[in-house]
Amino acid sequence: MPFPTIAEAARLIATKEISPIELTRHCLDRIETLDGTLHSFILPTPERALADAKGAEARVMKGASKGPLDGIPIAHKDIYNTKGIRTTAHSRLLEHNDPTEDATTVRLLADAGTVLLGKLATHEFAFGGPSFDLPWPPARNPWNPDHFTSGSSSGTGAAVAAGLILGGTGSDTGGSIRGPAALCGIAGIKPTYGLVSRAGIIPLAYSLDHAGPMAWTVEDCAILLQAMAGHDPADPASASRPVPNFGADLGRGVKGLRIGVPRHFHESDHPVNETTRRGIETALDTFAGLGAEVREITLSPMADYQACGFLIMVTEAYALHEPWMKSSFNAYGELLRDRMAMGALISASDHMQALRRRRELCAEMAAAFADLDLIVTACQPAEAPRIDQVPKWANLEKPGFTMPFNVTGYPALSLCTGFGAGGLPLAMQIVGRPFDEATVFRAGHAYETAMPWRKRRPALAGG
Amino acid sequence: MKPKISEADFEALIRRAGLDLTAEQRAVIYQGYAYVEAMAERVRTPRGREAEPATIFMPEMPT
Repeated sequence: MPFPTIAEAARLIATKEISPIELTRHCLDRIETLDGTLHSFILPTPERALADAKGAEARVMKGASKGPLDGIPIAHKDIYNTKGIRTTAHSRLLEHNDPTEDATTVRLLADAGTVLLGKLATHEFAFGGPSFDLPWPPARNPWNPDHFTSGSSSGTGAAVAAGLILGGTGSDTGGSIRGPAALCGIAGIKPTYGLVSRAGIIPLAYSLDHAGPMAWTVEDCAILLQAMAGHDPADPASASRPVPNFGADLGRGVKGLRIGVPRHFHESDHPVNETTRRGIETALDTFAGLGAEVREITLSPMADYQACGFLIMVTEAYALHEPWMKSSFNAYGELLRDRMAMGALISASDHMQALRRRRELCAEMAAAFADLDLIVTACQPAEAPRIDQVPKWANLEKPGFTMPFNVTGYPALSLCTGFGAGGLPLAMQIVGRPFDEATVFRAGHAYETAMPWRKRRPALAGG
Repeated sequence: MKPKISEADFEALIRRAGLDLTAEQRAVIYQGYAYVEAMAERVRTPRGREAEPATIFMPEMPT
């Protein structure tokens, strides 16, 4: 049982072939063995985990299981508030922060019966990283610990890929779920803006922040999202609409789906390496072979989306951090404070122009989707770079593939498309219409089951 | 990539923001500011005066 998925573990728990306590001990042992190298956890919570597991086991034995997440070990990115459990945002500034309430999503996942293994590394305040001048080291990529995980949900990406947890939470303001999902070779979805509550999650940029799940498979992401989604009056951006069954169409395949491909994103706006490009083309051939209609589309240059998103993100973030930036500048890590300082230097007029551009880009995306079900593009330009070779201005030098879907709020899934010459994972994004995560999952699951990539785990983790 | 803004004008921006930086910190952020200038130019594209920002919304009527 080295690497059960959530779906597999749920079946084994339901048939009493494995107990939640055994599964939890298995994960705690793996954390003990591997996390000295990976640094994916800021704070493991073994006592809480075993207490949760005992509760789940009692329910299973009584025939009163709460469902597919009952007894499943997970962990939360350390910007999700956890009542009575330190929540640091990986920052010296919150080193002793003990929340008095759970984030809404933490409560929902606990209500579903999950076992809390602890709190996971992030880039500082979900923005600066990888940083080596913070109280905790940055998470390392389990496919090669000399390499970057991407971020900011870095701990979740590393812990899922190494099989320390079966799933976990992330947040995504410009790509912070999809980036680490891509470089760590797992699945991660940034849901539609408004689908998942942000209440109780330490914000980065209010109009771009999304909360979502990360797991080994698309199916597991659908199971986790089912528990996380839903209207929350505590989040002013929360959508008041019923939550569909994300797993209902998972096995329907892609026959008849219309897929648009903005090749200029990954071929000219920010050219990806050849193995990444081939991975995307192979995926498109797979979709076409399964009966989807694939055609090329043209959107605005990706740099337009990046400029719009970054200007909004950094000004919103600076507004939140301004008191500390003025009083405690050097308490932040160098990467965070230097990037965040840009927010102090953008004029109100330029911020407003970015908001006006955002409306135009949202209209453009809606028009593109008028006769499409999905868009497929790159997620990262190549395999993970070495962790000591990530430039300070990496998120400014070239436009990111993920930001267009934060600017517009559309659901976007990252999933593995194979491995590069260095043995590290490659990925693509599948993007859907607003609140149509079910179709995104359907396509992602069809691809995953057609390809062998889910059978391979990092050698370091015993794969 | 070198910023278009002069170092003196950049220093004035930093002072107005109320940030207390060393000369070394200011020099590093100055270099990064070139990217922000380029991004700001990108969103200053001409558009009609009726082009509303994305924060304008339609309040839902009670049903």
